Amino acid sequence: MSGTKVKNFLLNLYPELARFRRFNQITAIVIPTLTPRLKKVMRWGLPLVTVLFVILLGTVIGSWLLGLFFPKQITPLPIEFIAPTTTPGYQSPFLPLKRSIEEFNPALPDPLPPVFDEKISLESLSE
Amino acid sequence: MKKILLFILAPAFLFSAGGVFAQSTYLSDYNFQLDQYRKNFAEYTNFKKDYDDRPTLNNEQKALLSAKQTIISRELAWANFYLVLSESIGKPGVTYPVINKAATDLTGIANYHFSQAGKAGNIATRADLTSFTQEELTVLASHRLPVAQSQVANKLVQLIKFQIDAKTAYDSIVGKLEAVKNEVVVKNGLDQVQTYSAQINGQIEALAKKTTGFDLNESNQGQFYRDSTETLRTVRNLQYRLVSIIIDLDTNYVRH
Repeated sequence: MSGTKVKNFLLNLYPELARFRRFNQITAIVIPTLTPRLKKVMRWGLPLVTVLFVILLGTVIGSWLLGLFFPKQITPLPIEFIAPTTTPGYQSPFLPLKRSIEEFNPALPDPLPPVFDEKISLESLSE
Repeated sequence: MKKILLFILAPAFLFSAGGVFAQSTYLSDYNFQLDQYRKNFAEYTNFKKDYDDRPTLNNEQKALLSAKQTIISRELAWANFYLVLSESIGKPGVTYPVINKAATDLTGIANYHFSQAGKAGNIATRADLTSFTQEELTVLASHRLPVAQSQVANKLVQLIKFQIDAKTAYDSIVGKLEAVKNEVVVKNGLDQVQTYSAQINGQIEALAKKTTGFDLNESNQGQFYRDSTETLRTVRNLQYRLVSIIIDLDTNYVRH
């Protein structure tokens, strides 16, 4: 009975619906199937589903609005990295070369020339 | 291939001669003659003072003999000093124009001092001594330029040897990196090796050119040494980074 009431309610609200054959077909199929048990489920189920839907929609809209005020978090792509194939205990044979370079003294003059008296004479020298 | 050519841009006209040098006694001879000179010079100073205070024939003879001994030890010390420097330049077995010239110059200067040590034995009078010293002062002035150039060559030869050794190290690992050469880290490492090598070769060439063209009449020797020291330090730092990368590649990316 309530199915008929709904139909009447909808027709009262939207009289144009009566012009659609499809509407009549759907109501003809749906109304007889509304058993008391189904009606009971729908009576509690529809408000519950509606409430959950509203909460979900609100959350989605809220998240979207939040995104307008905060910058989007950017996660960089992972850097390509190859795992080193280090041999445990391996010492490069080029380490002595590195040490030699490290110990290289660039200061000039090297070796420092000795200091000698170049004016050895028993007379005063004319320069 | 292009990269390898770039690496050896400067050393293209230098090569390792791989010469074997006999164990030298130049350094011990130098130290011995330096000690002799110090003893003789102390004696000469005393005898000369006596002669200045009391210019007798006897005092003159003593001062003259002492001066001769001092000059002989001084000339031998000089000769051995230059041979020590020449040996240091020749030891790495590197051939490069400024280095070849330095080795030739130093040998000539050392021979001059050996010859002077012989000539000093002929000094018999005060006039001989004065003449000898005046001639010596003139010649020593002409030695200042080749000696300054040789000092720089002595440092350059070591850096060039490091560069040759680094090239050998690079050649020994580059083939083993073939499998991973396109990986970002390895590719960057190899690229940096090329970049540093080009910079080092450029700096070495520039310093060699500057040393060859150095003119004592136009430039200050102290400034020349300071500028050269700065360039040598730059090259050393670049070589340190270059070899560090080669070692990193060898240790972490070559399968042993």
